[in-house]
Amino acid sequence: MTEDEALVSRILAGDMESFRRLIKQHERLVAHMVGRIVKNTEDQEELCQDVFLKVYDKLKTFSFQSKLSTWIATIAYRHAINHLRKKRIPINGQVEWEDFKERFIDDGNLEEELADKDLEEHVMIYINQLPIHYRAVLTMYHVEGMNYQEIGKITDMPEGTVKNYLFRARNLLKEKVKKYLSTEKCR
Amino acid sequence: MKTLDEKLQESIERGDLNLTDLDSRAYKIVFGALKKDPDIALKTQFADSVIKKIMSVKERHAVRMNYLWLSAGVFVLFVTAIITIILTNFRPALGAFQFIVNYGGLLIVAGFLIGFFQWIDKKVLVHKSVI
Repeated sequence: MTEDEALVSRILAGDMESFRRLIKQHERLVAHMVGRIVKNTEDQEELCQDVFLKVYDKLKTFSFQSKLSTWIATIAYRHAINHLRKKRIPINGQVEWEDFKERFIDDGNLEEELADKDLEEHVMIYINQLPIHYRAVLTMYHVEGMNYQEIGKITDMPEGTVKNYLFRARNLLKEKVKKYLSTEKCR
Repeated sequence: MKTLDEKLQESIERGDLNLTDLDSRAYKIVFGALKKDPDIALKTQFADSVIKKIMSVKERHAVRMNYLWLSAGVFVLFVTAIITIILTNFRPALGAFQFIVNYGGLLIVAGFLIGFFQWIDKKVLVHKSVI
């Protein structure tokens, strides 16, 4: 019996302390998934709570076909996307890429001189300006260390699309940073 | 065939930090930022509040189930009473209390007095407990 299986069976037997442990183990993952998709900070914590309520409710249906963390991340991702749909916030699944790329790189140029470390902080802001699916894929890959297959399972995207989204998102961020670095050189 | 950007992304991901051109420097900054946690932190008692919510949902569910069983019990009792009345051809009769029919007024006054004294009693008890 794996550690996850033992934890789940204890929770299903009614042990709330074990569920508290499950929350502690996965709250960072859920917060990152929800936080990168939903920008409204007031909604974020409530959505995270709802995710764990759903996890508790559906735990008996979890069949260990995937890792427990992948299953929880899937619930968090879908719950956050559904929240946006309910609030009629555009998800930008099919953004006109070339138009978006041009606008993204040109918008809000940095006037001040920044060290590379500070520039990294600005990149964090740029990440939040990317389309939702790009932000989600970047977070799962770089922050949570998931592989293409796991991300594909969570987002219901083919692996090729996941790779493509990752490449495009990093490329776009690089172009934005490069634009700043080249203007910095001219100063 | 891989583009230059694809090759650069793969090199940086492998940890090749010796690249010095502008694209590589920009990618290094981007990859550094991507590793950072998004700016969202849950409150320290987050797990407690989730558990509390689950317990209150469970409690509400238990109360709902109790009412459901109570309603089912009352319904079954009612249906059983009707079936019994039909099957046994039961006719209501006062039996030994038949004499009460002749003292209707007394019965109403007695009922009223019992109710009145109960009310007074409750008032006095409430008053004393406040004191």
